[in-house]
Amino acid sequence: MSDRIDEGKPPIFRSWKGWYLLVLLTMVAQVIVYLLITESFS
Amino acid sequence: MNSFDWIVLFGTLLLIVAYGAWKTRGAKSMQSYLLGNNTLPWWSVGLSIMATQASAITFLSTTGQAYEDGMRFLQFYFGLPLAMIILSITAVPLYHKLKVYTAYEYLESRFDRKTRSLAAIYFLMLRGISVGITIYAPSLILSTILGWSINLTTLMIGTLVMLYTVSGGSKAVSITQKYQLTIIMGGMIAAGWIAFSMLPEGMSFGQTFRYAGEVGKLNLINLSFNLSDRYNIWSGLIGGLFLFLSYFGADQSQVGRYLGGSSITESRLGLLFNGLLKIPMQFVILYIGILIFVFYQFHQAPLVHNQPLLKQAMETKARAQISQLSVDYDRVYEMRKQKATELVGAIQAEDQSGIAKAKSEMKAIQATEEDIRSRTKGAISAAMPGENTMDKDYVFINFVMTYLPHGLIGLLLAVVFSAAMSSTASELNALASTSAVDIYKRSVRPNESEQHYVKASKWLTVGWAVFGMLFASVANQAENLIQFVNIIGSLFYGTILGIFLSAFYIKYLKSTAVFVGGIVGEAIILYLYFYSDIAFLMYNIIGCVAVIVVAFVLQFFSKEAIAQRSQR
Repeated sequence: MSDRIDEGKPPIFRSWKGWYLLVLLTMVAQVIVYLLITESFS
Repeated sequence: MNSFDWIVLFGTLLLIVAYGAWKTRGAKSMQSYLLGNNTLPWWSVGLSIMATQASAITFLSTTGQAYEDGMRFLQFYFGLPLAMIILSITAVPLYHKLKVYTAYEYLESRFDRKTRSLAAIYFLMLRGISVGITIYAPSLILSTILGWSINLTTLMIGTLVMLYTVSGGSKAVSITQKYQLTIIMGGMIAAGWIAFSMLPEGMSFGQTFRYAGEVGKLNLINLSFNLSDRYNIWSGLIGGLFLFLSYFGADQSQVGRYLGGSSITESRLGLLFNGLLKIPMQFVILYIGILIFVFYQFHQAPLVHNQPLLKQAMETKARAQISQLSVDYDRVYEMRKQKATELVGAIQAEDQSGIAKAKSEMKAIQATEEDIRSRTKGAISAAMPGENTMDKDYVFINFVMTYLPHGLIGLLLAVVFSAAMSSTASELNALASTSAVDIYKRSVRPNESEQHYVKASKWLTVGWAVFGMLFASVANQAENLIQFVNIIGSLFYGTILGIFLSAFYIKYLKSTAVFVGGIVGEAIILYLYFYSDIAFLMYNIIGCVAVIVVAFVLQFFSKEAIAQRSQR
């Protein structure tokens, strides 16, 4: 695990952190939207 | 079914199978047969991952689950995006760096051969059982439609998948999955659209949401923490995270998909693509089940969705009782339809007291309706002991066969077959890779040529396909197919994940401690399965933690650790 290897440059974002944040925020946004649907329509 | 449906069905399937087999013919090395020469771009990796996870069970059972139980099953997938991020950071670069064929090879470089073999055997057990269920689901449908023996339809499906998986290996699996997933999503959306278009005139798409919400089907998020509740946000986030870490990080049927990526970047983007799209995709599939539910508020749902079973029961001593129940059911349906129409009217008029009144009256009618259905199933069981009367998995396909136009029926059947074939192919490929690389090459015949191992992999693919077909013949005892598959996965995934997490992150732990931890952890999970009522998603956490804790204790009291401490 300690050896560094070339992990490649991600497209669109400067680093992979941008992609991870995008996936995480999309998931959080979905939880909020689905919670709103549950609360408003039930 | 008419001849147009058969042409669409067999034309679609044969084109995909023939194209996959032709395009990937002649794989000579293990690299090309098991990893497709690592040439896949990110979108192909992503589609392949999604197609592997989305089996026929996903489409038959999930829509039936939403129809009966609402949309709460969606919460099961909330841990998935987190798992995709963690695996992109850890597993993807590690597996690429070590240039492994299977995930279990890594365990030998970190621990030893016995730990690698233990994890590989756990995988072979759980995936071997799952492949049987994956073949069983569409076999059931074809046998229902054609009135053929389920053993015959199982044999047909298993053989069709075997043809291109044996011939083209991993690349054939990925190439065919792209087309299969396109057919699947197109067909599902077409079915949902038809259900919507046959709703009462003037009912908008937004009003289907309102209607489903008013009758309690939009139970998407449940914030309460309850260990014995199968689906709430916490079991989805925590239990789901552990399950998906294990499924995507240590299950060769998924690891094999992203190991086929041409670089770390392509494999990583493929996983993240799945993290972004999986939950919306499941939402769409579940909502199609809800649309069918709303549709059946205004059209009469069958007394039993498994129509051939009902027909058989009508030829037994239960005929008179079922006929009477059927008359009662027709009468109750008319009352319910009237209340449903009133509810829609109240929703459209924003009449809150009208909504409350129609809802409360409908609740009582629905309870009567459920009672009639339950008594019918009881009558069938009494007349035909041993028959499975659970009909949730027949809801979607019965709707397709009854209400879809010709041509689309053929396409929707192609959807179910494509879904079954795409996931079965990945599973067979993974079972063959693991048994060839981790067991046969490592422990049985270590010094043979590349061609010998490719040939062995092909024969092992055939062997696992035969095993899957045999297991499929006993699968009809499962209450709900998708739950059964997830329960089987949860029985082993926690333990496998515990072994992999120890390998990835805990340098202190050595091979023997983790090996024994792996055996004790599995024993604990099996004990809980038989003697407790803990929700199955929690097995993933408990199994994982048990392996690590037991390994820590053993390591702490090992001769090596005691000697080190005494030297200090």
